[in-house]
Amino acid sequence: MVHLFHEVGLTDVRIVDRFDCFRGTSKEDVAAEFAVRGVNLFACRLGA
Amino acid sequence: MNNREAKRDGVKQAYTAIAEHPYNEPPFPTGRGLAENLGYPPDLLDTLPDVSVEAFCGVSNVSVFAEIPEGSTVLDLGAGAGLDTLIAAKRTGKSGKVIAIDFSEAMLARARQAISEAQATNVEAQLADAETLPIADASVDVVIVNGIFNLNPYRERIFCELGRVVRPGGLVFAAELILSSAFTQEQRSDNTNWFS
Amino acid sequence: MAFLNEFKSAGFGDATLIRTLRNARTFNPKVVVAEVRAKRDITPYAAIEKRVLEGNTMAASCPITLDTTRLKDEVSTIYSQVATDPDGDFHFHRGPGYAAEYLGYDRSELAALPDVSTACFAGVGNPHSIGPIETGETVLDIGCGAGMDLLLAAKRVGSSGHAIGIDMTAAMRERALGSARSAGISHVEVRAGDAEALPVGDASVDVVISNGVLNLVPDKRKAYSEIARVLRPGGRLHLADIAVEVPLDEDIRNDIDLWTG
Repeated sequence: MVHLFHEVGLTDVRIVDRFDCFRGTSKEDVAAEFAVRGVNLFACRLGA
Repeated sequence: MNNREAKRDGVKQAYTAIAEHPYNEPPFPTGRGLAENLGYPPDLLDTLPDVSVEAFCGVSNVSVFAEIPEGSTVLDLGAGAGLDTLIAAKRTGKSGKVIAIDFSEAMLARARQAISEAQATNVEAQLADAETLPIADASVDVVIVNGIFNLNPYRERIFCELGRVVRPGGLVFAAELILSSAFTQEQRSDNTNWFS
Repeated sequence: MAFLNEFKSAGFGDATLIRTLRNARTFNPKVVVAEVRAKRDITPYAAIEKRVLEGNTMAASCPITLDTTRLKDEVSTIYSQVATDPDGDFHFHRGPGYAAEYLGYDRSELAALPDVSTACFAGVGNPHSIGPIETGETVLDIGCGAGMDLLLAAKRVGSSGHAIGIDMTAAMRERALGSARSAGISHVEVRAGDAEALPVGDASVDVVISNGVLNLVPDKRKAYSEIARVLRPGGRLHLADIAVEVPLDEDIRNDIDLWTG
């Protein structure tokens, strides 16, 4: 996915946090099995 | 959050007491007398199981004035002992269905008994809080609510849930008690006065 | 009437009072019965949710040097399993309690916001914990919904700053604006638009935030391209979204050089 950011001019891409937003919902098991989670992602516009 | 939970517990206790002992002195009018006062036709009430009618606690005759086309998926939110549920079940017919939700075990037990007595095969009853409904998004055609908003400390979430479960173009028929003028300070701090 | 407004704020734009009656239930003459008929809006948001329910794309883009089709299919399948259910019965967490407990939002900050902005919050992460937002900055919230993240951002930038929310749904925009008004915040603006075509000028934003929205956008390249367009050079993206961390196959792992190449 990183290359897509680079292509449009966003850099320093990194995931800084993960959240179990599916925990306690009816999707908890499926989400756990496939490691689907909420993530916090940071990126920066080139050219600073 | 403590105050909200205390209020919710107080409400649940009061309604459970009505469900368990409907002929004791309730904090407000209930039962057959109330239902007739609210405009439920007496001959309609005659066809419904006592177990529902005697513990009825609604604020208006919602299932009578709501638009319920045949084949609708209906949600009775705060179904209590099931009076509106059974009326809605008849109106939607075999091709439709009714989901009755209440947070009081005692009330739900009455509703289930009534559903069985009335042999209403198109009804399911579930124990749940109104602010977290075990119902899929956009799956309900009509919601009937007979006076629960004032009783729920998380009332804003109920509207949110209604928005989630009602399909686009679906309808909610809600009856609720509202203030026609402001209460005094004294009445506002009285915990037993739920309308403050 | 307040009761009608509560319906309107929740996506029932057509809410009418059928009648009020004297109440037979309590002995208090100041309390009357209101009977309301409220009709659920038919909104573009509903159409999007339907697409998600039908298991549509969350396909993350991948390095062109890998078998992108296979990877995309895997990701789509995984996401559709999360988004749908044979019983058609699922619900996600919502609200300020969830935001605090699961996503690390500050409870007291949330308590200070109007209920209408927090009650329906359904984000998947926390854009505010990614990095600082400074006084005087311009922040853009893509898919602002009822405005919870937007108002938090507005508080951070202060009245010398500017907070712009974008949402496709009229009902959501109204809630967000209404929330800003109740909170007494005037440097908030809410605009109609979608992620693939932001109604915002080039290089005019310091920080873009978004929470749980981009996974629903069909053309992700376009969405990211728009984000890059509106950000000033050096501007930041604080994005919260759903991601699938797909376990890599042997042969994909062997191609790892191509990832970094």
